[in-house]
Amino acid sequence: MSIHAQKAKDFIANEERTNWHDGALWHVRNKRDISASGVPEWEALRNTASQIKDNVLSNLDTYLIQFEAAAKANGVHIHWAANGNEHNAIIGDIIDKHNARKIVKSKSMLTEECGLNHFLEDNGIEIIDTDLGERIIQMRNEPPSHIVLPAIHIKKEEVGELFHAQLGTEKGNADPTYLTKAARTHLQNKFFEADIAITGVNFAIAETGGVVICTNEGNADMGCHAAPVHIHCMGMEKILPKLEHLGVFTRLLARSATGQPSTIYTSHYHKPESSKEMHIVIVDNGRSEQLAKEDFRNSLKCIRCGACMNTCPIYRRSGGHSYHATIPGPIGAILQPNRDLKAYSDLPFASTLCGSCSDVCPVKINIHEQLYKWRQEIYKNNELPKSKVTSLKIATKVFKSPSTYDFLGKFARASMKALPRFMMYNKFNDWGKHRELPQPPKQSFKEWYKNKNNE
Amino acid sequence: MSSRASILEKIRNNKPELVELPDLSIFTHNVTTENLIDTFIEVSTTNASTVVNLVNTETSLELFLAKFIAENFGEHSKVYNTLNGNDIPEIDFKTTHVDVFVALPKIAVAENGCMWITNEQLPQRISAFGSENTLFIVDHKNIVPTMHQAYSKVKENIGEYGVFIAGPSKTADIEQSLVIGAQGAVSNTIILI
Ligand code: SF4
Repeated sequence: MSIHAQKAKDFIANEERTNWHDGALWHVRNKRDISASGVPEWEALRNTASQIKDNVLSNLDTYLIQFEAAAKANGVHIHWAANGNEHNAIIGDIIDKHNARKIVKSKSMLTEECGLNHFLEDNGIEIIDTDLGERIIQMRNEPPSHIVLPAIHIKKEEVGELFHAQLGTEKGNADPTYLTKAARTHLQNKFFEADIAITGVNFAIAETGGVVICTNEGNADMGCHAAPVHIHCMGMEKILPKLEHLGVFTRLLARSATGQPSTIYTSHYHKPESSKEMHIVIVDNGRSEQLAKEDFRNSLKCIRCGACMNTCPIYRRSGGHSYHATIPGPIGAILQPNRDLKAYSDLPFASTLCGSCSDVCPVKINIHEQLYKWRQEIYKNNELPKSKVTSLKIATKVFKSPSTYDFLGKFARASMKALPRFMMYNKFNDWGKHRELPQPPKQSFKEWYKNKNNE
Repeated sequence: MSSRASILEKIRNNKPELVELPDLSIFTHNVTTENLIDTFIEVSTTNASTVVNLVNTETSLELFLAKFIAENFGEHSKVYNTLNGNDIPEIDFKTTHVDVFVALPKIAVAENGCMWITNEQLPQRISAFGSENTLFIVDHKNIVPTMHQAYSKVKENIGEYGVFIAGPSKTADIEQSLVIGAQGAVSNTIILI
């Protein structure tokens, strides 16, 4: 069984939780629909956003150079990291230079990708995630299961127990308002103690050299404004040419993510506050290779809204952790194989190819087509799981021979009717798990067509 | 070769042929002033802000504000008021509890309730986040329909730091239950003039 299938099996073992997870994410998807349909020019916005990103990818080197020059002129320190290790080392150097011991960090999928937390903890540095969901999973020693809703897999009672054990909240109190207030108090102290604040970046503006960070909690700003040094870590594809392009992306991001018309805070950092220091780390980590692959480069347009996860029937019922990757869901399934085809060869198969992800994607990434293309790459590279190879070989034989196909069709229809339940609903038939098989039709389409023409 | 040089070289070798930027002038919005005000109030209320509409009243803002703050945040509340310029004595937000931050945003956006403030109104950037409550005076003439118009105004002066604030801080990270008051302000009031 593939890793995804095994982990999904573990997840759905708790049926009640699975149903809750499924429903909660569908609710978010629904809010997105209502929000998007309130904007008459929604499709024009998606098209425009996709075209802007096409332009960015086709001119990325020029924009990065322009961005760097503008940021430096603003007094910002710019660093370049070819991979995750270099990214961590750069941050380590800044920490050393300032003799820093305590760090606060707002949500950043990039630092997750680079394994920054482990790197710093191994070096004796305290790093506190300040987004509530991220803080919860950090306390549980878990990776996020969703890129926008990192703790969506956890129930409030579990948060209550966790906070009781680690923050001293009342035993048995699982009221979200009460728990959020407790986290607020805990985090306020952390902000003011911190020597350095780290954030991710939603958008970077080539023209002005600034970075834009979107949050609802205000945690990125609390961190940056309280600490004497702030570092912003960005994937190099986050560039937009000009300020006016933010008009398009800010209209799409929050509506796609949670259905809100905007995030509560959209912060534009251009210069550090007087007597403070501002750094930006530009990270490649495999992105320049992805850029070379014509079929897959569009995945670099992603603005990490999470809409493709919320809508995905597989994601909703298998949970983010089943993807065993930093970025889960449909977008993760097309990003991860680029990093390591062997390790993530199961992910492009964690899809029904229904195409719902591509329909909701605000930058119009052809996600389901890329999933299909990755399957072909995986086959070509001999990384297909054995079970799939065998069944595909049998299928090829069957489809090549019309008489075998007809015979097996009749046989299947007859046996589905005749076989006792235990023969169909057992551990060998994945299609009979958690679902009732449909009633078999009396005749095949071919038979029906023939009869109809004879009538 | 430095990482900078090698990254840029890889991009140069791997990038596709140049694709032109699209035309943004298709996003035009002709909306009446009444419509802008109504939408702004509706969206801001949904964003959990309290909105007081003084547009058609003769009330003196100064008197109203003093009374409003006393009634809602206490007679002796500590106010960080940026309405009269940014020459404000520095406050240590770590040790001082500030009840309410007051500012007049230069731009307000009808479609999403965003209000734009920059370092000009933020002598200390943390003031808008470290204060318990925020209060914004919005001049109805500053309301624009969408983010497109907002950014054409922002462009004139992006400043050192600027932020769109659309309400009080919030989170739904515990079981998707909405809680107002996360790490930033716990309430937001908008006084429309
Ligand atoms: S692929 Fe599209 S829908 Fe999925 S997270 Fe990225 S931008 Fe959002």
